[in-house]
Amino acid sequence: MKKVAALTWLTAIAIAALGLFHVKYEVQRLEKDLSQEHQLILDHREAIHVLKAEWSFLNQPTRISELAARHLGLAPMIGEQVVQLEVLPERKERPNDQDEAPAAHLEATLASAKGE
Amino acid sequence: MMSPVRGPMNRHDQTARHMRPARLAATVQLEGAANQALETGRTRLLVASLLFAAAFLVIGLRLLGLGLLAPGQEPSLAEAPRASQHAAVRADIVDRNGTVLATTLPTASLYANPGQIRDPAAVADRLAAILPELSPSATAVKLASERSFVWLKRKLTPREQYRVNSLGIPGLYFQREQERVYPHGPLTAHVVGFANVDNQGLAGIEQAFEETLRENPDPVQLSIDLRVQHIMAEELAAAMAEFKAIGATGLVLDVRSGEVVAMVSLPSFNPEAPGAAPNDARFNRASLGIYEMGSVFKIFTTAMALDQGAVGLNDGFDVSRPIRVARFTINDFKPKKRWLSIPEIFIYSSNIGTVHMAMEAGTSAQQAFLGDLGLTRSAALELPEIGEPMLPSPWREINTMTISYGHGLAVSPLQLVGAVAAVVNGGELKPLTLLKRPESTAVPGRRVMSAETSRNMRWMMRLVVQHGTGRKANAEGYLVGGKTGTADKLLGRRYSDDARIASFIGAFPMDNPRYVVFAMVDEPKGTKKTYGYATGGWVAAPVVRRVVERMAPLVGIMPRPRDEAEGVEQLLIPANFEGPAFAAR
Repeated sequence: MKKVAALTWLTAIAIAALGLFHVKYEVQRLEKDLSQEHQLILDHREAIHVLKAEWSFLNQPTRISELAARHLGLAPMIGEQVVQLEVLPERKERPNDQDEAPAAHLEATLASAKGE
Repeated sequence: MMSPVRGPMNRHDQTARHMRPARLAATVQLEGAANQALETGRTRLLVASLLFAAAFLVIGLRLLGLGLLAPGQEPSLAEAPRASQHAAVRADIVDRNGTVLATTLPTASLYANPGQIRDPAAVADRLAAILPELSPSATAVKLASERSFVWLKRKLTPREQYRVNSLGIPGLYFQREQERVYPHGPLTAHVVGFANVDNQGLAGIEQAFEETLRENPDPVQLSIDLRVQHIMAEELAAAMAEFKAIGATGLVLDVRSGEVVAMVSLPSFNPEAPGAAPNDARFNRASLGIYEMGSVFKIFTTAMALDQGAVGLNDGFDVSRPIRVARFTINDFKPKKRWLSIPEIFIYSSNIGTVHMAMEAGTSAQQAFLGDLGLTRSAALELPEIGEPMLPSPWREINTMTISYGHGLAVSPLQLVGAVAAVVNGGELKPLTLLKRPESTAVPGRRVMSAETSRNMRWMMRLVVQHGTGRKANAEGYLVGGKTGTADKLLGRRYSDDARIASFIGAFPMDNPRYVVFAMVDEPKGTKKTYGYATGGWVAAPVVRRVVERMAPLVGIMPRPRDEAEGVEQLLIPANFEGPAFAAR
């Protein structure tokens, strides 16, 4: 009877010890993972920070206006080009092809534009 | 825990060895003392075991409590990384739309451990190919030295770092450092300022917010709108080039909140190399420079005379004869030689009429009024570079006369803009700021004139642009109003004949002003196109027109169609002062 009790206790101690070590190693592994992730987050944040500065640099108004002048062929807007919605005359009659889906119409226009 | 053990032990004692002595003990008297000792031992054992039991019970309960009943989650051992951890050195400065104006970037500096370098000459050659500023011979000497640490180059660009790294030479190392970077360089140099190599602010916001930038990782958000700033800088630079001027400055101020939306001072400098710039370029003309502003001061004189009730709108003065005081003669630039009404005096910028107005109000009234508008003390703004106004001392009658048309009192453009904002916004002086105010909060101001006076000044300023000296500032559809100013510069004790300040201060839209726009060009020279004139109307007014035209769509101010604009003007301007007939009178 005593032997059985001792054996039970010993087994219990062994299991507890094994469990303890297992948990300990698991925690160590997770903590390492966590600190790696944190380092990664910091690296990414730093990269974002640098990229933001670069984005701001690339958005220099002088540079943008040069690019716009070279590639867009647009001029600064003047006051007379702006019209408020209320000022526009109302459409007299609805077009007949009202049922046709606007998307389909757009696609047709795009297709014809491509074909040209 | 101990007590159950005692039973078997006793039994064992009695049965195995001490049975006989124990029985004897009952009869032997001497055994009493031993028995007593035994009893004492037992009692002690009991006390100790009880103590231990209590301790284990407490530990057990505590374990139960922690395991089952602990509130919330357990504290995390590893702290989450903070946003600022990598850039804790110095916070960013951003504009009102969040565009980065100043930031701190990690950078790498190259150093070597000469002890680990086998072939200094070869290494020096390969480095020189990437970093041309390193001379191979000097580098080879450094690399062959006995020390264990030599700097090769501080603050490499990321590309240089990458290329040096890809050489894969053992013994070369990078040291991480922090560098202050200004992505928009000269455009915001005077506002943002700059920092030295140790990242200490030496000018502008960098200096004024030194502590905040160091301690608080959140960016400092300015009221500056980079787009408007760019427009102002570009137009001023164009005017400077056209009129061969030595400098220029411009300001855009939100009249409702007192926020400075643009502050430009030309020539500018590169804040990453402030030492290379001449002093003149580092000088902030907008806040530190003080100038005699000339005719733009007539805004204040007219407002004062009307607000004090010294004159009425329908009054007027004969301006046909110059005013002679002591050895001075006050004359008009383009004499009208007749009686002018108050609005006419303002629109045609008559010095004589304005002096009469100021004399009606008196010296003390002028002092008090200009003081209320903040023109007699330094402007309050979050910049270390703030110019102190130059006041006449003593303030005699002759000073009152000259100050009425803007001579004899020198103020900074910043003060002027703040005061004009108060004139057009309904009569409240708002505190100026370079920091973005939260939207939709009303900024409390100090009333400096009646709303009625402010309304009258608005339509008079509109008339200046419609029919008077400021016609070139008329941005179609935006109802610009304003006043031109041309002042001869003081050279020593005399006024110069050919060095002058040409300025224009405008506001728009005049029925409900949102922004004050100021442009000033320092020492412009007349051109053929301007018939040799280099006055505010010819030089600065067109700058303001173009700035208004370009910035209005950006800040969400709709241009008015012509008929609507005329309708608004009719409501704004009293009928008897309206139209070309009035202008031709």
